[in-house]
This record gives sequence, structure tokens and C-alpha cells, in this order.
Amino acid sequence: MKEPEHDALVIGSGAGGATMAWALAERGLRVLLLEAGPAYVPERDYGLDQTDWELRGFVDDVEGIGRQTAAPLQRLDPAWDDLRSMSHVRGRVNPGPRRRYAGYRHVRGLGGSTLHFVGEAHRLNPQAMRMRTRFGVAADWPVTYAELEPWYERIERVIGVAGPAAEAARPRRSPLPLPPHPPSYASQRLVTAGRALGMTWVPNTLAALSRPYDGRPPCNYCAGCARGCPRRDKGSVDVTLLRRAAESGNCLIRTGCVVTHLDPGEDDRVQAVSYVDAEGNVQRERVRTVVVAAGAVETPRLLLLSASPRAPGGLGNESGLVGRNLMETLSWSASALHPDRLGSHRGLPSDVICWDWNAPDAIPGVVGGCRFSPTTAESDLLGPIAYASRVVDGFGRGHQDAVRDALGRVLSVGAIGESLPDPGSFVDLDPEARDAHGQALARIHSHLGVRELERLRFMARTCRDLLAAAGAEAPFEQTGTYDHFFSTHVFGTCRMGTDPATSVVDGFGCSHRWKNLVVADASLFPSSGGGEAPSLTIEALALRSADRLARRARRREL
Amino acid sequence: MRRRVFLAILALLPGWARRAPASPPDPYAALEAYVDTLVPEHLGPSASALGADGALRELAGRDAQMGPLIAAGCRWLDERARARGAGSFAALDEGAREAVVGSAARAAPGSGEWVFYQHTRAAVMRHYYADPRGARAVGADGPPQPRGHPDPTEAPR
Repeated sequence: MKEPEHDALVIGSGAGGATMAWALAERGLRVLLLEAGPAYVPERDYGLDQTDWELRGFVDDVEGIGRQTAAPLQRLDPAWDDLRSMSHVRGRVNPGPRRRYAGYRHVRGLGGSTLHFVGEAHRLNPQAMRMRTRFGVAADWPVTYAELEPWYERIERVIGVAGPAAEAARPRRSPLPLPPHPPSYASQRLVTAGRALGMTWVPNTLAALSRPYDGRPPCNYCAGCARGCPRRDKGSVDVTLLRRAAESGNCLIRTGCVVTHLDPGEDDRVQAVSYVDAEGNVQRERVRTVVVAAGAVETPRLLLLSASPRAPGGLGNESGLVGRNLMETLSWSASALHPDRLGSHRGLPSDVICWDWNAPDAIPGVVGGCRFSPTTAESDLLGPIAYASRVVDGFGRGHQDAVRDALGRVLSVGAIGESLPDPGSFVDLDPEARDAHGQALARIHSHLGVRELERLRFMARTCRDLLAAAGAEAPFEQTGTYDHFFSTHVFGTCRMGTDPATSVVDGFGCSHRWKNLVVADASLFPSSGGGEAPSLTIEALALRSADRLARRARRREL
Repeated sequence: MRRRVFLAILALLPGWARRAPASPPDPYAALEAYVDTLVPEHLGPSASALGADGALRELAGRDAQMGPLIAAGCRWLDERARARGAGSFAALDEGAREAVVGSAARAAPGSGEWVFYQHTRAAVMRHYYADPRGARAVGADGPPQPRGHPDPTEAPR
């Protein structure tokens, strides 16, 4: 086998992989980036200008790439029936006795899940980084907020983040590069209602341009971020970091390449990466450094698939913690009709936010925080199809009159809360299900404990109170993760830490044993935070790790 | 919901089959009148004028679960019409058609007619309001791009 052609091979092109690829390439390292999915062309592939736009979600189902499975989920307890998802059209969304698997929303494509995110660019609350020391749960972060701060600052400038100049809970050395977006007319109602309840709402911190920046136009508030941004003003990594990586001349990007195995060699180093390329050919690439950044479900899957005599429990799994400590998206959303026309289909999806209960000790009697924000767009309550099928029940002439009357009057508010590790929540390999290449699929196990449900109950109650305070009718739809597993943000399955016995990688994402194996996604998170979107923290961690890798490369240590 | 469809077909199709007389040659003959009961000509064209019945036929032809469900639902509509003294659902006047469809809408969740109604209603609404003529009927804006909503802070006009 020939010598490595690249200094680093990066697997996955989401927030972590793209940051690594760009930062290493910018520092002069030769990078090969492998992405399982396709490259999308925003102007061509995102159908927000098509008449059937509402039927089009973000298309990311790529034939031949395995999805995940789920082990049977927990039985539902009548004591928590107030947390069951409901729709006034269909009744209970899950009428069964068990929690139902509704999917892990993870985009396979160049840019990963930043392609469908709504642009939230949050720094983690420093108080959420010491959960073990303060509360005896989860694990402490091996890196402090102060150590991450310069990297947060750098990445905010590169991707173009708009938001308030300062946040008390998240100190910054300099303001964000762009001013905040103004709250939409509908969000102003939530802000006013929240004020009446004693809540503080502020403009959200968003990777969506409020002014021209980086050669990209400002947002025009179409509310369609989750369907992909055709204007390129949203700071998804395909139009920011990966564009810069490609322009550096040091980064080769290959799409349609499904990595099947990492091969450990002698001296505790990964020797090669095997993958199936876009033409279906099996390739084996010798590596100096390999960065795994496939997300907190697919990264542990790949490491477990890479078991061998040299790594019998899976690559990097000396602690037995690869796949363990899965933390998921704990969420709630409630939607109601407001008596006034709000034009709530306009504006950025999550343009304001309430951090009042974000700190881990902020919710009375429950460890772990949460945040609140509008969810009309994320609940996909924007167009006439949603109004005709979900907002207004019934049929006939009266139904059509009611749809016309209701358009733009939906007000939705939601919450995302802390998810703490649970022995029943982890990722392993499905013993039966296989992908197109014969590889075992990842199997998700999830269990919500009482503290999660108590937090969820607080989130649900606050959402209902807020809608009532805003003058809305009773909710016509409420959805949450008590009776469904539905996650966009997942964390913790390759936890970072200082002790090899209780963590998979160190504070730079480097395997405690395998000298050239690095993890760069939310698998690293020792705790989830209190509802912060993870992408900015993933990027800051990756930037910090890439800087160290580049310095090691200069010293010829890779 | 897929499991719910499957169970509805399994549980209720034999009963429907026993009660119903011989099916007409076209198992989906009731669809045109049915979709026009869901969305009649009113603020815009009727559902059938926008091809919603054809969309349901197409769905029935390509979906192994929806095909039997829609066929059974059409038989149920005709059976209800015959109980009212009409030859078929299409032969009912508008008020009687609304009463039949309303009984499906109010049926017990999980029952065959309720599952049929929920699935076909959702499919018809998707088809009708994805059409610009349907969207215009209720005053919806066109696609969000390329214009966007330049000033979302103001009250809607």
C-alpha cells in the first residue's frame, strides 16, 4: 500500500468535519474529506420557489445508505398522560402503550445537518459544563468556557453570526459580527406575553445574515430554513467552511463515499480507512490522521464496526463507553390559533429566545435547563396545506372558509431541554439490520427517566401558559418527545474527558489510545447543555482541536 | 399510522365485504363525489377539478396498504348511500354526502372509516393546496422564494 497522500482524512462534512477540513487545510495540511451523501446546489435543489414548495421537505434520503433502527422503547405511564402528543384532528398522535420511534433527523449530504438547521448559533452556558461536580450527573467538560471562547469568536466571524452584542450568561470578548434580526410581528406577541409572565426574551443568535457578509446576501425572511436556504445567507457549512476549504487548494472533497471500516495498525495508530466510493468501488486509503465526524449515532457505529483483533470491542472503545451516554433532543411544542392576523409564516424560524431557565439549576426542583423559542416554522405550520390538514379540522365549504380565515394566525412556541445520560440510552449495532454494504445499522436505545419527564412537564406547562398569555385559543396541536423518540440533536456517545477509564477521547477529541484517531462532533459532549443548539460548540471544539493537530503536524508528530 | 392502516384493513375489511353487495366494476367510482365533498367548488375550483380523485387513484395503485384501504372506503361510502336509499354515494345529494362523510370523521379513532377519512382527507388537502389555484382560493401567498417576506416585523397587509 502506498504512503498516505493526505495529512488528514476527515469522515463526515457536518459542523465538526467541515470545521476540521477547513481549519487543517487553511493551516497548510492536505485534507481528504469523505461524505456519504451528495452535494446539493442550493439554487437548484431547494424548492422554496416552486408552487409545491410545501410538499418538499429537505430531501436527504439517499438510496443505499443505511438508516438507524431502534430497540423497543419504554412503556407509557398514565401518570404522564399530559405529556402525550395530541392533534385536534387525529387525537393522540401515538395511541399505543409504548413510546414510538419517530426518527433521528440527520442529513447525509455535504454540509450535514447544518443544511436543514434553522441557523441557531449558540455558545454553551458555562454553568452546564460542570454537571458532575455541581449536581452529580453526566460528566464535567475537560475544557472550560474560557478556553473555548477565542474559538467561538473565530467561528462566529467565519460563518457570519447575528445576535445581541452581549449575553450575561455567555461572556464574549467582542461583539458578534452582525447585528440581531428584528423580531417578527408574530414573535413580538410572544415577547409581550412573556413579559407579562415575567419572562425575558431576547433576539436569538443566528447564523443567518442580517446584512450582506462574506459575499452573501442578507436573509429575506422566507421562514424556510429547514428546507435548505437557496440564497446561501444561512451559515450552513457547505456555503461557508467547505467553500473556504475547497478554495484553499488543500482540501479534496469526495461525496457519495461510505466509510465502512477503520483499520488499526501497529503502535496504536489507525493505519487505513476503507470506503465504498460513489462508483461502488471499494477503496482503502492509508492515513496519517483520521477525523471521525459522522454525528453522535454514526460515529460510534463506525468505531464499533471497526472492531478487530487489535481493538476487539471496537476502535477506541477501551473504556467500553463508545455508544454509551447517548443524550437526545428533549423537546416540546404547542401550537394555537391567535385571534389576530399575525402573518406568522414570515420571518426567521427562531428569531427570539428565552434563556430564563437555561442554567442547570434554574427549573425549580429539576436538575438541567431548557430554553423557549417560537416554533411555527419548525412545526411546519407555514402554508395552506398545513392549515387545511392540521390547523382547521373538518371538510366542505365551512372548512375552506375557516382555512382562509386562519392563515397566518398560528402561534407556536416550543422548548428544548437538557438531556442527561441514562443507562437505558445508548447506541449499539443492530444484530440483524444491514445497510446496502452489508454493514450493521446503528440501533438506538432510549429511556427517559423521571427527571427528564419532570423537565418536560415544566416545558409543556410553560408553553401552554405563554400561548394563553398571548391571547391564543387552546392548543390545536402539542407534540413532544415523551411518547416519541424524535431527535435532531444527539450527544455524548464518545464522551471526552481526562480519565481514559471514564471517557473515550481527551479534551481535544483525540483517542486516549489511538494516537491518530480524532472525534469531532457532538459525540464528544459530556453533557448536552440546557437546550442550546450544538453546532457552534461543535465547530469551536473542532477549531481548537485542528489548531493543535496542525501544530503537531508542523512538529512532525502526526 | 402505517400500523393503524394495516390494523384497520385487517379488522374491518371482512365485515365490510360481508355486508356490502357486489362491488361496482370500478372500485374507486365514489372518489370523484367524495373528494368534492371534502373540497367542493366554493372559493376556488372543486377538488376533482384539480385532479384530487386521480391523485387518490394513483396513490391506491402504488401503495400496497392505501390501495385496499381506499377501495374498502369507497365500498363503505356506497354502502352508507344504499342505506339511505340511493344507488351509490355519487347519487346522493350534497347534504346527504356531507352527512355520510361527517359520520366517518366522527367515528371512533382507529375504526376503518375513520382511518380511511383521515388518510384520504390529508392526501386531498395536500393535492389541492399544493396547486396554485387551491392556494389562491384561501388567499395564501405564493412560494416563499424568491421574494421572501422583506418586512416580517409589520402587521400583515
